[in-house]
Amino acid sequence: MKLSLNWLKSLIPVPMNTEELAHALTMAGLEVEAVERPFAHLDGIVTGRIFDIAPHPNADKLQTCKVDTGNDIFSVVCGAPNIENGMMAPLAPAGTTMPDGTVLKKGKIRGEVSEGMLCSARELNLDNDHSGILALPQETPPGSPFCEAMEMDDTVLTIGLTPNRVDCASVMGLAREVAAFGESSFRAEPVSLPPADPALGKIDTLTSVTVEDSEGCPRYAARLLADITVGPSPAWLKNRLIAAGLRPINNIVDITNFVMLETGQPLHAFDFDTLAQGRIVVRKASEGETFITLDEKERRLDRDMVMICDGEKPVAIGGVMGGLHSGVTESTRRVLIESACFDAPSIRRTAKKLGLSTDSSYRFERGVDPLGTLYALDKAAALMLETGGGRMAEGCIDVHPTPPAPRTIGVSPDFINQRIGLNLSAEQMILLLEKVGFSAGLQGKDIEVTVPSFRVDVSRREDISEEVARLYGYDNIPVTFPEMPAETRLDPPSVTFRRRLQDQMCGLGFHEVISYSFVAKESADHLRLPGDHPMRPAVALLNPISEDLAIMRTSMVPGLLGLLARNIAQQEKSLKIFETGSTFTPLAGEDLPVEREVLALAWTGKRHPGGWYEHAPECDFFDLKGAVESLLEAMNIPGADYAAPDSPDSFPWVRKGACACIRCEGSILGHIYEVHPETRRFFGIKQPVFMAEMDLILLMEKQKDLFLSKEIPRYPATTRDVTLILDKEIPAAEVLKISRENQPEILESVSIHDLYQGDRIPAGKKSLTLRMVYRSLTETLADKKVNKIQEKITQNLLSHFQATLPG
Amino acid sequence: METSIEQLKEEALAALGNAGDPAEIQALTVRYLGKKGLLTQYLRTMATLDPEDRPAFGQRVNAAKEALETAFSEKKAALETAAADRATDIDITLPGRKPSQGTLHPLTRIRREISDIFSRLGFEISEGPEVELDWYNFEALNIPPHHPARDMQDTFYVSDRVVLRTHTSPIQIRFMENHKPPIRIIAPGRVYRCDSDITHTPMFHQIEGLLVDEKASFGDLKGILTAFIHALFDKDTSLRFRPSFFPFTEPSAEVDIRCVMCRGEGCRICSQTGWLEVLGCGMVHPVLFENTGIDPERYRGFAFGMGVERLTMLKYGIDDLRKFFENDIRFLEQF
Repeated sequence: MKLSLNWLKSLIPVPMNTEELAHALTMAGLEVEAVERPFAHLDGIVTGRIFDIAPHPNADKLQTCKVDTGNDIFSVVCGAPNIENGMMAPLAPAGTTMPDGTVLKKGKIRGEVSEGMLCSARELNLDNDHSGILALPQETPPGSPFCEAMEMDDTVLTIGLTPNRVDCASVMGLAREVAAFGESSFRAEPVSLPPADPALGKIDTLTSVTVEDSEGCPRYAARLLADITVGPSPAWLKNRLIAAGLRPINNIVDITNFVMLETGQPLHAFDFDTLAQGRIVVRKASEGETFITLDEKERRLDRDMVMICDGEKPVAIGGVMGGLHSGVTESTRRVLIESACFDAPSIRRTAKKLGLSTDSSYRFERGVDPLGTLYALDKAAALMLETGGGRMAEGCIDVHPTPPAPRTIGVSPDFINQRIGLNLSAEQMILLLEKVGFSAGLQGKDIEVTVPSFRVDVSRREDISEEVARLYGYDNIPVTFPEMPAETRLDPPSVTFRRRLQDQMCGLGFHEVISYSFVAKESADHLRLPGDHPMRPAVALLNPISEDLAIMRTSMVPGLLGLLARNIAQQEKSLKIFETGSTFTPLAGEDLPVEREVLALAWTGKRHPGGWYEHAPECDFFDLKGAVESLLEAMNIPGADYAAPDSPDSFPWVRKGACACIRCEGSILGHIYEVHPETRRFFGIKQPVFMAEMDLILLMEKQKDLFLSKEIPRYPATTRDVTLILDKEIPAAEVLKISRENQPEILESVSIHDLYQGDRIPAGKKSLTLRMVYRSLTETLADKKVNKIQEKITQNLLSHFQATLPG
Repeated sequence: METSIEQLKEEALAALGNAGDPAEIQALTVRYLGKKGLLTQYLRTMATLDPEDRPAFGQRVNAAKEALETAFSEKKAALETAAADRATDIDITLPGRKPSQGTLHPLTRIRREISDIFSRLGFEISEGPEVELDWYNFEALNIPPHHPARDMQDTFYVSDRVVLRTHTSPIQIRFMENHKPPIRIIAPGRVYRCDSDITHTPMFHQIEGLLVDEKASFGDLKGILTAFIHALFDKDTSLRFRPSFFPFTEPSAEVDIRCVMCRGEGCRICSQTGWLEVLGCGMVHPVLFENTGIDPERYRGFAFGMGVERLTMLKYGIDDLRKFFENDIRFLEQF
């Protein structure tokens, strides 16, 4: 809402400067977003009287003249045909910045000095008239700033209205609020309507209004004017509209807009002679009916929309926009003014369906004062007669079958004081409320508040508490502190767990990323998912912002690969990243999908930055696996084992054979893998990428939250190594498992100490060195005892794997 | 017997005296004190002695051995000290071998900072689904279908009944459905709006707060938020509460803080106003209590919500919202 201060001051005195006013409005809940001078582009233009007009000695179409601005005389060369001696006109002296941004220079035009420019209306950006110099009234004093002389020295506040305060989408509504800043209160000036012309007859003999849909249109009022002259609006009216951001059209249309802006009541003016049978019918549209609105677009209607029709056809979409063929034009002689109320939800649905939001629909869908209808109608009629001449038919039509009952709300002062944290008396509250148009009085201990009809947002006692708080001033409410309950509040375990997990990941050298939860539809193809893959069904958005962000992710992989690719394109080729976030899987028969929180990590490029001491190798599968192992260890999640997945074909975005399934106590926690080259090619990544995905909640469930301290061993450990030559295909994990099977407790651990695959052993074989650590909690172990067990283990391994000892 | 144990000792001490580096000492140790060293060999000759001479012989050898051991270890220590007192030739200006260190996303850092402040004020964290029923995202929050307030939020729709949550407020409803007052929660999370330009990303983060008890007042709301802003920025950061509108609170307010960049002088960040809008808040609308089975006659509450991105930008001087989701490693590494 743009508020012209000149307009405001025409309704009430404003005893504060612009800055104070803007602050007061903002603090009353009417946020001032901008302060502008709409005619600032005319600064520098002055008024002057033209004299001494003479033909230009060197140009047929030009003239020279002098312009008197009171203190100075300017020599001006002018090409306009309409200048006359004694004429008052706007002058832009040399040095002025013109509305189009050019700076006027003093110079010679065909040899004659020109010290300024006389301006047309178009050159001043006022309207399109460029037929000649703008003639100003003779009584205009010379030498005044043009804006001042023309009463265009205005300031406009742009106010961001919240959806509840539609009453302030009008200068009158804002005047009411501004009046409350002082001690006064605002009263609208009654309309002085000129007498009707009895010769024209009563309005109901000339036309009729039938409201078939009184739910959609609870009130419809009209007046009829004849012998109206349609033409340009007077300057004051144009200035008001321009300041409010509207383009002047003609006096009739401008007045409907002016009255809407002043009162908040949208109006419509019909060319009465275009209305078939000279009457109005308000009804619901029929399904599929079409209608051309005045913006020349064809609109498809449905049964929900309220149409204003004449005796035959629709002429306007009620409360939204008029029709192309019934509007007021230069040739209009008779005008039917409509001032009506429409059902807010219906207007909203209509505007939404048609994708058509107008100043009118904006107000109706939020709620227009049902008792402001006639005031606006009369105001418009009076102004039209004033600017367009003509005569008015007697009386007005007002179809208003069920006027709304006044709303009253009973509220106790205690309720308000406790809710807000105040200590006001009932009398203080009543005074505050009455300032902005409520009427209130004591009824026993309660305050009985009657809500003014324009405050459609106030319906409960809580709303009254807000009015009191707002008018008292939020900043004046004392700051207090709530009582603390004497109990501990713990965060959900998943929140605490996630936080520790993120910290561990950072400790392991991974950078946290946050990627969008939506991905491209093609992501399933990028993951090479077959048509029936369970990760294909996704939650799709009906109105995605782009094709690239059209479905909710079922996997973290596409998002992470995308951002790896973007970084690699910036020559950042070594990346260790992780994200914790949800994936979304639709659930048949359910509205909401399953949201599964996942920890995903990705590593590509170098193992570490390297330096003078070592040239860093490329990372590989075991770097990522090591990170996962470290993470599980740090999070106290024991007992995980790593094996090839049962159905490798379920992971088509993974390189075959380079995928470990992380199992723990019968659950699959996640997977560690190298990304399939074809998948990463979709993202333009040319280097290997290693990833892991783990289910965050499963990880949490496997976490042992009891840390029971163990005894530190008091006796030394003894180690033994054994090297086995065995088939390449035998997994190390299998060898470790067999080596530990059925062994006494003194075998503390077995680890893979060395691995060799190469020329020095037979083809198809590998050499695996195991290191056994033996320790007893009760004695220093004798070599003989250890050797005996070691021998047994070795023999068992040799026979189990058909292995040999090295030659 | 050719040499006495005393001679052997003297010989060893003399050799030790000439030894100049740890390797020589090590060699001498092996030569004299090793398992097959000269002293051990000498001790073996004990077998050839008369039994009555053996104890005295043994004592002499052991005494010599102890004396040598002491001398050897003292010499070794002296050499080490001397070596340490000479300057080494490592170039200590070479960079060290750094273990790689990851970083938390700046939004996570600020989200935690905010949550931690509220934790100390007695709030617990609660979370909820990102794909949400229209009921929780709108209707239960007093935003009926076709209400103009729906325009305040451009919604991503999944179906007629399902949306991507446009704010973290549905968590309030879910929590109140399942808990009795007193309630103090903080609800952080991702939210989604169908808007993308220089100052909007289609996904961003909010933190919602809710307190419900029998005495909560707007003054208490001012108290909690003042304490929060003072903890997040500093005690000189003043707040102002402006009337506003949210369908789920009544009264509603927007909270501005004195610009943390210019301290209210007016700058680009605060659009020359000296104030920054950082929070929305208000007293819980009774309709929410009615919708969640909490007695509105007995309980009152307040709620507030804030954008994590906005606060993070202010805290870290980040000028472009989109940086958060571009995940450029050169940006992330700074945190």
